[in-house]
This record gives sequence, structure tokens and C-alpha cells, in this order.
Amino acid sequence: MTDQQDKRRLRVLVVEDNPHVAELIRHGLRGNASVDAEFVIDCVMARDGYEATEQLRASRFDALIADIYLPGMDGASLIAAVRAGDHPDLPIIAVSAGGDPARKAAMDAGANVFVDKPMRLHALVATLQKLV
Amino acid sequence: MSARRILVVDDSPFIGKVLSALLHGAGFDVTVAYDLWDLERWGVGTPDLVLMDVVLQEAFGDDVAILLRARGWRCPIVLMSSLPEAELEQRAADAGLDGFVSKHSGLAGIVELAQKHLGCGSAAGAALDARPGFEISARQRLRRVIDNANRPQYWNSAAVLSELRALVGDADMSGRGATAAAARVCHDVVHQLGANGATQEILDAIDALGESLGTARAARDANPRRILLLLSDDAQREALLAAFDRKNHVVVEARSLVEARQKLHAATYDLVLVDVRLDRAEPSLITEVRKHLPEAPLAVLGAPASTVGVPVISTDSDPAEMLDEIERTLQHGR
Repeated sequence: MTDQQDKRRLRVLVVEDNPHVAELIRHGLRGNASVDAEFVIDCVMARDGYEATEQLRASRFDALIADIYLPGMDGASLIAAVRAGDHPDLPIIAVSAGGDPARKAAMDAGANVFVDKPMRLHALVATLQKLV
Repeated sequence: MSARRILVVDDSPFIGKVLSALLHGAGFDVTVAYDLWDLERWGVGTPDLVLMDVVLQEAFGDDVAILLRARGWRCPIVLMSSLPEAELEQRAADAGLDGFVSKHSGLAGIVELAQKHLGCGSAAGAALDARPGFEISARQRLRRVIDNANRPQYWNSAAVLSELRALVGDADMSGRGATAAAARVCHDVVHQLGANGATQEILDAIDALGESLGTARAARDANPRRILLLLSDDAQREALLAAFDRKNHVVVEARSLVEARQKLHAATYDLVLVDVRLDRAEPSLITEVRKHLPEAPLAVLGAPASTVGVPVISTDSDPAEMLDEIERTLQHGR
């Protein structure tokens, strides 16, 4: 296995309004779920589309993971705004427990991949690995 | 010994409540987390065992378990699910957990697993399980409800109601002990429901069942009484059984002198209550009770001349007075 220090570092913006799910994702991406991945993930968390937009303006990210049903500015609106703005090629993974309607909204807005909730965290890491 | 604490994480209200009632009945202190918000409300310290469903609303239980481990939870964590056993085993191994149990083996199997990990719950729970003749039929019925709870068709209210009614019916037939007390509470709720009763009402009934199991056990532990009842009059029998049940006394019935003798020699009793109208052989039985259980209070219903020196409870008196007299006899005998 490659030493952690030799791995590529990824900055990922995670948009999730449920703080407990957010902690799970952050723990999964930074910890066990990514042990065998080819990179080390630095997570930045945002609670809704507005916070995410501010984060995207402030710094550079290698990927975006966005829940679809969010308070205020929802995930689909965020993804559409990202595609129409300064990050047309940013790898985006949309996640939701909303099934087909959420999937359609996410893909129509420009997400690269849609992942159903609940999601296996190591599968999320694998999906991320394919995208970046 | 205080009850061992079990945290059940399951997003199904039905399974959560039924499993909670059953684990509570086995003497464990049970908390159910239906989602991650509930889980975050867990207080100081860690439980003695975590039973973790795999497919939750917003996350997978094995990922949640890994997070709990990272937070320093060192207690056993066991996955439970309806997923295929091979997958379940793999998930438990990948997450470094302490085991798995398939819901296909029945929720009663989950209780057995908890007992295996933690012993038999509290001392009270162990005593409850060990008591001879403890409502086996009602217990089996309850287990069937639990087992069937995993099947999609049993999410149908009418089917659950049918099983609950069967449970209540069995408990009523047995007429004694904790399950009967629990079932009586359940009985009132269930019988108010139609064949298409709402799921919430069923959950309330199960709540009542669980609470009653705990209440009845606590009452019995505080003041347990075993009564051997030899009675001929069916009407009085029903009234007495109902009254004893309300007081959580354990009643062992005999319907003949032969049966009474067998039961007399098989266990000890706090009171032997004999209806002397049963047949003409009562004096010999009373002598036998005196010889075999010299410390046990003995009371007779009816008053033949041959029972001088034994407390007599008149069967001609008002039923309430009769019961009061029996209680007084019990108190004096302690």
C-alpha cells in the first residue's frame, strides 16, 4: 500500500444539512473508507447551497458532494449554479434518499453521478476516485 | 445487580418497539434510536451492547458503528438485518464488529444473542425466565409476533392485530403472571381496534405491553406470592384468578385432589387455598399440606367441621370480602 504521505490530496466540498450524516461522511472520507484509496481527502463541510457557494468562491476544490434536498438553496439549484458559473468541469456527486425525482433533478442540473442514500461510504470514495 | 443497558438502532418503529418490549421483558434496560438524531441523544458513557440495524434511513449501520468505534465505544456492537447472512457476515467483519444476527432467524434470536453477550439481563429477568411454568404458551405467541414482524405482510395491521389477539387470548387462558398482566393492558387497546386498526395504535399497544411487563415484574419481585389453588366453583375461580393476577400473584391451579397432591410436592407455596367442597377427602389433604408445608398458610373455602384450627374463608360471603380475607391470610403467613 502507498504510504499516506505519498498519496495525492483531494479537497472535497460536502454539502449536507443533517449534521450527523455530515459527520459520518466526513469520517468516512477521511478515515477508514478511504484507507485503500489512491488519495487522502480533506473535507470542507457546508450546510446548504448558500454556504457551499461561498466556499466555492473562497477556495479551490477538487470535487463536490451535494445532498439534493437542502433547506434554502437546494442541491439541484447549487449544481446548476456551479455549472453555469466558474466551475463547469468540477466533478459533482449528488446524493439523496429522494429516489428517481431527486436523481432526475440532480442529473438535469449537471451532476456527474447520482448516489442513492443510504450510501456505503467506501462506495462513495470509489465513485469519487473514478471521477477525479 | 442493575440491568445491563442495550442500545437498539433501528429505523423501523415496529421492530424497535417490539424488540424493546421483548428485551425489557428479559430484564434489560433498553434504549431505541430510530435515527441518527436519536443516537446523538445517548447520554454519558456507553451501553453494554449495541444492536445495530444495517439499512437505516440515511446511513448504513456498519458505517455508523465504525464512527462509534472511532468515538471510543468499546462495547460489543452486533449487526442485525434481513440482508443475506453472507453479506451480513462480511459487513460485520469489514467493520471489525462483534458479530451479526439475521432477522430471518427471528427477533427472539436477537434476544438470545443479547443474553449470550450479557448474561440473562438483570437478576429479576433471570428469575422471571427461571420460574416454573411461566406462561410458555403466551411467550411462544409473543415470539411468533416478533418473528413475523420481519415479514412484509406483517406490516399489515390486520395481521399484526390477529397475532396480538392470539397472544392476549393465550395470556387470558393462562390467567396468571406478567404476560397476563401485560396482555390485559394490551387487550383493552387491541379490542378497541377494528380489523384494519392503525399502525400507531398497534405500536401503542406494544408500548403498553412492554411497560406492563416491566411493572408486573417489579411488583412481583417486590412482593412475590405463589398460591396453590384447589377450587371447584368455576365462577369463583375466574374471579379469584383475575384478582390474584391484578396483584401479580403466581397461581398454580389444581382441579382434583390427585393433581393437588402432585403439585404440592413439586414446589413450595406461600398459600394453599383449598375448596373443601371439592370432594369428601379434604381432611387428608389438609393434613398432608400441614405435613409437607408446615410454614405455609393454609386456608379453606367452605367450613366443614373437620377443618377446625385452619383459617376458613366463607364462600357465601361477598367476593370482595372473600378476597380481602385471602389477602389477610397471606399477610399473616409471611
